[in-house]
Parts: sequence; structure tokens; C-alpha cells
Amino acid sequence: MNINTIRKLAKEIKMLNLFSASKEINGIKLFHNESDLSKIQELFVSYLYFYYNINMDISMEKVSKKVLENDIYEDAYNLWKSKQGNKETIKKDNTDHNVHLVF
Amino acid sequence: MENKELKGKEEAGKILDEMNQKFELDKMESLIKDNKVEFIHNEKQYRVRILTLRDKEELDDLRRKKFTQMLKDPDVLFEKDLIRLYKEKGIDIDAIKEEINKLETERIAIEMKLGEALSKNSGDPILKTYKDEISKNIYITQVKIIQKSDLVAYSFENQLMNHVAKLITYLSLDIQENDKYVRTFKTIEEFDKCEDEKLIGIATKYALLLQYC
Repeated sequence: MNINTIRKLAKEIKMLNLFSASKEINGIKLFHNESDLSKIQELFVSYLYFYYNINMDISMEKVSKKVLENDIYEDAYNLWKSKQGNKETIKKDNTDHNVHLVF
Repeated sequence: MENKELKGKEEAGKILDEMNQKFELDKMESLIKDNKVEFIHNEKQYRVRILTLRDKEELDDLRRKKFTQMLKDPDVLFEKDLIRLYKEKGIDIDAIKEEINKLETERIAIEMKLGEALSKNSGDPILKTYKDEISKNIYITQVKIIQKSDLVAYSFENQLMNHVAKLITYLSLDIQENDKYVRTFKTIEEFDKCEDEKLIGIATKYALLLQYC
């Protein structure tokens, strides 16, 4: 049992469904404790977000299901996407700056 | 006939592998849900749990004692002093660190290309080429990391870290007695004397996952 097991567990559909439900319905909990998450729980939640976002992109046809074929594809796509996000934020900031200059 | 037997063995191996994976996932699920995991070893029920505030105070106390004791020991060298000594003997650990950093930068660059290729739905050959390059990079990086870790294994920092891992295992391992869980070893000295390596191995694995990940 290692970090890969945590990742595998977070990738399971039943876990992702539970995660979605816990975000929308009060009373559905992922863990027995409500606060003070342990390191392993924090890591698990970050992997849940990771797979939740990939699955969202698949459903919006931003990427094909192939991305879930292996860890290398998943990590690469996630890294590329996060860098794209940063680029878009910088671009948006610059545009906003220009708008202020015009006014 | 032989082929059939071989196929049967392969199938059995596959089922066993799947069962083991399911067992690992179930254990991990239990561990994540409530920060503890139970297991049976030599017909006795054990539990590894996350440290309480009181345990953490005890951990700090024991760690401090070890820290002071190691500080007084002239044979225990800090990592930076070990690196200097190695350099005098022609082994450059800083150069290994640089190689690791370079490999990581290269890996990120390939990952970016692969990520973009995935988003553009590029064909399998392109994806496979990038994937193979990344796998190779990860393998070489891991070899370098192990090489570096082996060289500094006896540094002050690593010895203290290993001691803390032992303390965490000692503090988080409970045994069931009369339907109640109590600490398996009453003192760290008692824990040190334990010869059941399998029990300590299982407990260490769970304890470190819970505490450090």
C-alpha cells in the first residue's frame, strides 16, 4: 500500500460520486472526522479534485477518455491545463489593465 | 494440455492479483475514512491510528532527547559536512542534485508537450513517444535519487528522521486486550527489543502513511 493506492482509490467512480454528493448535499461526509484532516486525507481530497476536474473536461469534450489510460497521461494533462490556466489569468489581467488605461 | 495449464495458472495469478489490489483498496479506504486501520497478526488484533495531541507531546519529548544525544556524538555528521567529505574523495553529491533538477526540468517540458497533444487528441504514436520518454526520464531520475539517498543515508538529518519514524510507529500501534485497545509496547525500549519484524513492518507502513503520507 502506497501513494499509488490513494490515487487508485480517488479514481474510483464510487469515490468521485461520493465526492460530488458531499459538495452538494449537506450531511454526506467523506470522512468520519469533520475537521483536522490528516495528511493522507488532504492528499486524498487533492486527488479527488484532480480526477473530478479531468472527468469534467472529458464530459465537456475538452479531452478524450484516453487521458485516463495511465498516470503519465493524467499528470501531463493536468500540468498542461494548470499552465494554460495561469497563461489565461495573466492575459486577462493584462487586458483589464489596458481597459483601465483607455478609461 | 500444457498450454491449457499455463493459461489456467495465468488466470489464477490474475485473479489473485486483483484480489490483493481490492484488499489494498479496502484497507486504504478504511484508513482514510477514520484515520485508523485494524489488522490481525499472529491471531492478535492490532490497530494503527493517527497520533493524539498527547502522543505528539510524547513524540516531541523523545525526539528532543535523541536530537541532543546525536548532537553530542562526533561520529554523526550533518548532510552538508558529509557532502564536503565526499567531495574530497571525488564524489560530487551536488552534481547529482543538479542532474536530478535538470532531469525534472526536462520531464516537465515533455509533460507539457504530452498534455497539449492529449488536448488536441493527437494520435497514439505521438502520445506513446512522449509517454516512453517520460517513463525513461522518471526511471533515470529515481536511480539518481536513490544514489544520492544512499550516500547521505547516515547523515544527522536522515538518522533523526529514521528515529522519528520509529517513534511514530511505537506511539501509534495498539493491541486489542479484553475488547479494548491499549498501546502494544509500554516503552520505546520494549519496542526496540521486539523481534517480530513482520509486525513492525506492517505497523511502520500504516503509521507513516497516516502521519506523513
